[in-house]
Amino acid sequence: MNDGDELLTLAGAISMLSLISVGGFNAVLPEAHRLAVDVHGWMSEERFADLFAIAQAAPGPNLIMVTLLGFQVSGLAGAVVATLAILLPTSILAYIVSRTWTRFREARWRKAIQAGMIPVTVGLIAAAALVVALTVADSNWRLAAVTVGTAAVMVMTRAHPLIPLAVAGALGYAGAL
Amino acid sequence: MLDPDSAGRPPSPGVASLFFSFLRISVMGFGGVMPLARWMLVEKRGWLTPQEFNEAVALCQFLPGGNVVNLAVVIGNRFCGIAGAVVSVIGMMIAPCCIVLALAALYSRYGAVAGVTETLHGVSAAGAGLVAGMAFKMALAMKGEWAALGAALVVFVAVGIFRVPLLTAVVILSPLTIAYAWRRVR
Repeated sequence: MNDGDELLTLAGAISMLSLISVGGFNAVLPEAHRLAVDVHGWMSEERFADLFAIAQAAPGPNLIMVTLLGFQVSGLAGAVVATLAILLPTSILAYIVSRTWTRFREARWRKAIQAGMIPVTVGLIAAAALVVALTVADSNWRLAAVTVGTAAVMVMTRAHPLIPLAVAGALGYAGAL
Repeated sequence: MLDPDSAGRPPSPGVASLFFSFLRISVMGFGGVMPLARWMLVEKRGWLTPQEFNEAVALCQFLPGGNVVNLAVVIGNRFCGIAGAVVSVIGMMIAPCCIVLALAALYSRYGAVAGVTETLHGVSAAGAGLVAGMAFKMALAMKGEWAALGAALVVFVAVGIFRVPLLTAVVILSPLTIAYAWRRVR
């Protein structure tokens, strides 16, 4: 397979992934794994896990793992193609929906859908926080305390969110957690 | 409402301001960008009220794609049209993409570095706390709407505690919350 074909395959696979990623990139992580390891054989199981860990360590949206995936497949060109493929389809969709949404802001159906989505969203975000907190803490009470403490600081103050992140990172580095 | 309303609020951002705000959010977003986005948009800049943030995030959560990327599109479009949407997404992605590639290069040269795993555990725990705090603040913005708060609690228990798959929960519960809202709005 020549480079052009490979980039095209990459773009196709990633943009499909993008369009089914309702609930964010983590919702399609198993599918990304299936595509990269089983279907296209772009990398080994271990390499996929490594790339996931590196993406977790970097700041930014967690879909940047796709940038690494693309880089693994065909270098810098692959990284650019994969990143655009994960961003463009859903961003265009979000743009169209958001314009439609503004145009119909007085419509009853629009108000009902908007009002109905909010409680589901808030519940999902709270659930995500719990699931991640339990996975991270894994019966380590100090890590659980960091999570609870951070949440309390965020609720009670308007402190910069980087402060608890930096403190927790420093505590972790120092071996206190 | 997802539309601008000029009464008693800071001036609307221009494209440069959008770009640099999303850039700043993205490089600070360890363990989740959304809490940083709320802090920037609602608490620091005052571009959105807490209710407007809830509405924007709800829309983004229900669309496919990265929620914060969708948020960049929606907020960018709201203030500066398509140019705003484009610069906001670029602002959100450019730095993390470069950083992650640099990290991958370092990793393949040096392998795991001592202390990194431990640091990341601390950061991840705090990141979960940021998300939890944000969820609480989003619930505060729904004050008095007891039915909606109850529905949020049901979703939280179903997905967070009983681990009902996300799509199942959304498909079953959102028609109910939307039907309830339909009877109340006009």
